[in-house]
Amino acid sequence: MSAVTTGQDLARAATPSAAVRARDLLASEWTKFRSVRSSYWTLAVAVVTPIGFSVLLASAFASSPSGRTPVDPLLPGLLSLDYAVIAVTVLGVLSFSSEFGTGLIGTTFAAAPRRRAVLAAKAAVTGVVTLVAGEVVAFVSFFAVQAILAGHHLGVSLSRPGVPGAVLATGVLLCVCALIGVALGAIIRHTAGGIAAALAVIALPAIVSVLPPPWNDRIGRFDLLDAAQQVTALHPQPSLFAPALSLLVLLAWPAVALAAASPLITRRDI
Amino acid sequence: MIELDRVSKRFGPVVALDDLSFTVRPGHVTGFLGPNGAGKTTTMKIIIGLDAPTSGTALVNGRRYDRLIRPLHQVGTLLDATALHGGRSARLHLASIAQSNGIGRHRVAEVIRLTGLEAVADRRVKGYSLGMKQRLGLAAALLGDPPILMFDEPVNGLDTEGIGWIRQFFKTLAAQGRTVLVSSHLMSEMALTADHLIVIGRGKLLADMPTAQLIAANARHDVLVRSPRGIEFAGLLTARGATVTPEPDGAFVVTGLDAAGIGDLAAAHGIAVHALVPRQASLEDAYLDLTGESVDYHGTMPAAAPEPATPQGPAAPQGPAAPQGPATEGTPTR
Repeated sequence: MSAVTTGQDLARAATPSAAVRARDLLASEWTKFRSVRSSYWTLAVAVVTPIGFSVLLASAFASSPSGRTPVDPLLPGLLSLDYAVIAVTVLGVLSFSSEFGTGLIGTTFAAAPRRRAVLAAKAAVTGVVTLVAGEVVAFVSFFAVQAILAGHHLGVSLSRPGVPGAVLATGVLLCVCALIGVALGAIIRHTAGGIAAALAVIALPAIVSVLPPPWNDRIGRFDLLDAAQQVTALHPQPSLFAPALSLLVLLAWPAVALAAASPLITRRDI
Repeated sequence: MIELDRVSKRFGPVVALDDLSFTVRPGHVTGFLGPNGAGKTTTMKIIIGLDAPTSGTALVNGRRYDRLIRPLHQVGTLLDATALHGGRSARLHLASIAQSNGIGRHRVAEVIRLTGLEAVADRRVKGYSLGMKQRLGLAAALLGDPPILMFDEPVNGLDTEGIGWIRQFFKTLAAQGRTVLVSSHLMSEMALTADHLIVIGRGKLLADMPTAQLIAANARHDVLVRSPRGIEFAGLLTARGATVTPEPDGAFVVTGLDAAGIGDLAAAHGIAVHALVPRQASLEDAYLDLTGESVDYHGTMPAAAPEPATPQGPAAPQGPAAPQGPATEGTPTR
């Protein structure tokens, strides 16, 4: 069992570059992600339900008495994301909470004592997976919805200015929610509590819409779901931030959540 | 080499570790003993940086663990064998740990073979017995082929054959010049496995010495004597240089003279002897002597037998102190 190691091997093992170490951690987290079934189930829910739902919504829009109410043709794609948001948030929370729940986190942090790097690796793996899933959902939903709406002369083409960005942004929303889940999983350390907290962070700020104007919009422009609607709509609301600024607001949410998680996981005992 | 220097750990008002200092040296198996709740797991967590000490330092090979790059090449640890994701196979569990430290696939296969898990390595660990999980934990600790190894209660859940195997395994690792620290709450187990013992109770160091020395220092050899002419005989024994301690029931305990010598002396003076019982305190008693006052969780005997007649044997000094009573491992706060 005592492997014969050459001096060169030893030197390489002693000081791998930061890039190599980052790649190692990413590989490790990717192996963890792909080696449990819950990942696949959650992703399946995140991908299948919104596509199906958007088709239903588009049909409902198309068959409603048209003409009077100009419906944003991109809205079904966003509205149908609710279940997907829940699914990817759970996926994000689980990346930490399942390790805290089983005690596996001790093994993980013993193997990688730089815990911020573990947080970054988990965020990267979860973020990339949910971004890909989100874009698949966004584009498949878009084409399905527009095919239905086109029959009623309500659809838009992907070549229309603003549309590709809006569709891309729809996919980003899932990634954003998953990353908030990762952060809250690291902070709360329990699955149920983490999911509840993450969904509260995502959905509760929308409550500012009941404030009297102009405060509903002044504060509401910082709300995650309002910002998501701004960047995914064909006709953004003038009272909120412009889409480019709203995209920054949207990305700031997971950034702040992960920044809050970072010192906590570093400082706390396991 | 593992060095603890005045390590203390508080969980709120509870002092889990109290100014603990010791050094674990390479080349032999060091047993880390203490009753449940003594602070063994907390100590190990502090060594590998999972818990931060309130004060003091813990170093592995002269460095803080959390400063190590690819630490699994330096220290392999098995803290909790059940800390696994039930849905993952042993092979992918090990692969994920290996990848984080740049350890290749062939080494994963190697540790699976070393720990005898080949047949089950691709099954989900949900169905593993505790013994299989212990083997898997051992495999994970060995991944980086580290010079320092720590195992927390590794014998739990193993069958007799597994226990024999793991003992030999530890001895082999130590013989290769590695530092091997094995915790247990069972003295009898450590007596068979460890060359050196570190005993703690309530977070304090109680003993740090070679196993043989601990046994010699704490084991008692005496003879219980009962005689109708007890007082007279006691005087004769004392005159021969023996130490005589009276027991409450009229018997007395003799040290410094063995049973044959006492018998010959009695015969020479024509004194009747009704009992002549050589007694040898077991290692377990030595351990109880050491830790008796530091057991957090005392078991109590069933109330039905109010005065169980203590058989002729070494009486445990602390009465019903039973360290393996309620099997709650861990610090009192958790």
